[in-house]
Amino acid sequence: MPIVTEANAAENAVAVMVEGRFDSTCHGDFRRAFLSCDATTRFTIDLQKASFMDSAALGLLLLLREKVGGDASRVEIINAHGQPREVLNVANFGQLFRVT
Amino acid sequence: MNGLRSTKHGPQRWTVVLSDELAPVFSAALSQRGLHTLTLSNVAPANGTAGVAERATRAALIAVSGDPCEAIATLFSLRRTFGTSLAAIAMVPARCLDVEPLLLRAGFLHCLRGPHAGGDVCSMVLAAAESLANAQPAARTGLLREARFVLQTPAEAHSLARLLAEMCPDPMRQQLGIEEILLNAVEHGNLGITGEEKARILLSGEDWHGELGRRLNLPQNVGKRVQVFWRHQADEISLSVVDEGEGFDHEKWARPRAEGNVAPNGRGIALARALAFDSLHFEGRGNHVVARFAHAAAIANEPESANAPDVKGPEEHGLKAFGIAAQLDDLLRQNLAAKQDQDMALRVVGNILANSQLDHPAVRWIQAPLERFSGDVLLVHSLPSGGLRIFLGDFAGHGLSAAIGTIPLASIFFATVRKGVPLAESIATINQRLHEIMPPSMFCAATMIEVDETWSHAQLFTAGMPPVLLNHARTGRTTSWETKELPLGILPSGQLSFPLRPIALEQGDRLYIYSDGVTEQRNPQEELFGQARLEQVISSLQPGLNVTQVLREKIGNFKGHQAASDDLTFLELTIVAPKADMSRIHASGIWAAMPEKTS
Repeated sequence: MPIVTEANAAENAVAVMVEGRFDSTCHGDFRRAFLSCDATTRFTIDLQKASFMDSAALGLLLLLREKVGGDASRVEIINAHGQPREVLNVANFGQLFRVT
Repeated sequence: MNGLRSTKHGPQRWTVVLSDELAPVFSAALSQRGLHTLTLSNVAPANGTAGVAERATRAALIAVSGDPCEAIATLFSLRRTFGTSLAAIAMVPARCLDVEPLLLRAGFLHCLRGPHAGGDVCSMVLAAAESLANAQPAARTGLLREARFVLQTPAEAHSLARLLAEMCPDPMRQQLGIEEILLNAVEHGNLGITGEEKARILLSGEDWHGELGRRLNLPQNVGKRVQVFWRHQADEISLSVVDEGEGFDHEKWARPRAEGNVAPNGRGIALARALAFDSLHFEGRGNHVVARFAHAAAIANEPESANAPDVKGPEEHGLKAFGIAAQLDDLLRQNLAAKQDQDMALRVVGNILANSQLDHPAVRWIQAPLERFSGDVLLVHSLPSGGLRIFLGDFAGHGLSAAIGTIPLASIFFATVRKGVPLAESIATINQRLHEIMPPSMFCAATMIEVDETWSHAQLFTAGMPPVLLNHARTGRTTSWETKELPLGILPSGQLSFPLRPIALEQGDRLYIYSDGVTEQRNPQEELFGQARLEQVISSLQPGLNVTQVLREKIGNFKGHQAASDDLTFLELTIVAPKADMSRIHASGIWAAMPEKTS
């Protein structure tokens, strides 16, 4: 569940690294990660170390999407593999985010 | 024992009470073992034995919703009706935090994280009822009139609670309350651990028992003790517990708990007061708690009753000083109101889902909800043309929030099927409505399938759901079909298209629709059940065997002791001659029950 957030103020970018299970227990930490951002902040969600994600995690991604005003170019989901990749794929989230 | 042991493999002659939502899952398996079943809604609160008086009720299978207190309240109410030797088993949803210790303390014999194969649960019910029937009745003589105990550790609190409970009129019930107030005195009183600290430690996965041990050995704590005074008076038992702490933080405790709260701690005192005792008061600076409860009428005629010392005065004074009585009542009223709200929502959802033709002869299904409200929604209804439409939805989120989405979803589904609205249009309407009413983080993954009036073609749509499987009667092969669209409710319908996938069908073909709870079930080695295993089950099914039973067994064997991961729904649709079931559908008179409104 650990969520590690790195904010790069110079580039106004926030990187969120999720480790282990990405599920409802991440709710608080994940939301805190994008509390203090403005209209141009760019987000990278790094799922390199995430081994599992569920629908609650998809919901958190949608909250983030709402936060950036539905602008798909401002949220990038990177390094998803295994089950999380499959979940993003089945949910067709490539339509909502940049999934690379 | 009453023959329980001797009838283990023969017909049983007793009844198991079970939560209504568990009935579809376990009733059949329980009856196979010769057990009678009775759903909770059929247990009248006043005289619950009505209609089953001729049979003993020995076990209860209770589904735990998000809040375990509700299940405990149910258990206590059942014990009042059926006696204290009722063997109770709790079915706990996978995402509930660590509620088992609380449930076990409250008197549940076992907690299972569902869904479980019917056979496993039956064996457990039988074993549990047998072990309770064989237990010696507790010795409750009432001879001990006054006693003082001194304790220091949580372990001592546990054993003293058991000892004192044995002397109580309803040991199972009062043990919970006694244990709560004794542990409270040790943890929050003497060791000074606040509710927030405890929650943080439990949630962070730190070693709670290690932390308790560390605090017990701190220089400032080693000399601290909890004193317990037991008084068995004419008409009641009173228990005073005094610790050496700073006093209880009444305000924190009286603060209302949010709906759906799943914090791992903080329910103890409210529970103890609501369920175990007739009254619970704090005195002094809050480090002195007095619990009272009436005991059995066994010594009602006792001569010294008139001289019973009156200890009510100081407690009432303490109550006023802290002003907590009103807050307590508020708390309990809010709990009750939340429960009533849930009941109401459940009824509304139930009324709408009652339109579903889940008894359609062409379908067979299993559903294992993890909570009172399942996150999975399964809807089946015939089209005016003679075709059939099926919807399987999986809401992100569970419990009440999923139920709220179910209401518009099911209403639109039934209304559009009834009018014969084309499938894609029906999906677009549902998507738009869900998008409008639901918060951004909530959505509904969905599979929809429609069989045409000739039962020779189908169209399907999958959005965020696993593919639909088709087993061909002629070749025995299984193929996989999907559209991989975005789940419903995320984007407005104007930004989406709803492409459908056509399939040609033949007599005897079987279509399989399921939620990811099936394929994402894990085994103890953390492997997923997966689509390949499911296809294997479907392809190798012997004619005449019930696929839902076979699958339930396979998943049960696969997962071993691993908890169920999600709500689980699985449906088989067999392609049959259309005329045969049309007569049946028209005879069922179900049209009259259809909802009238849509928009």
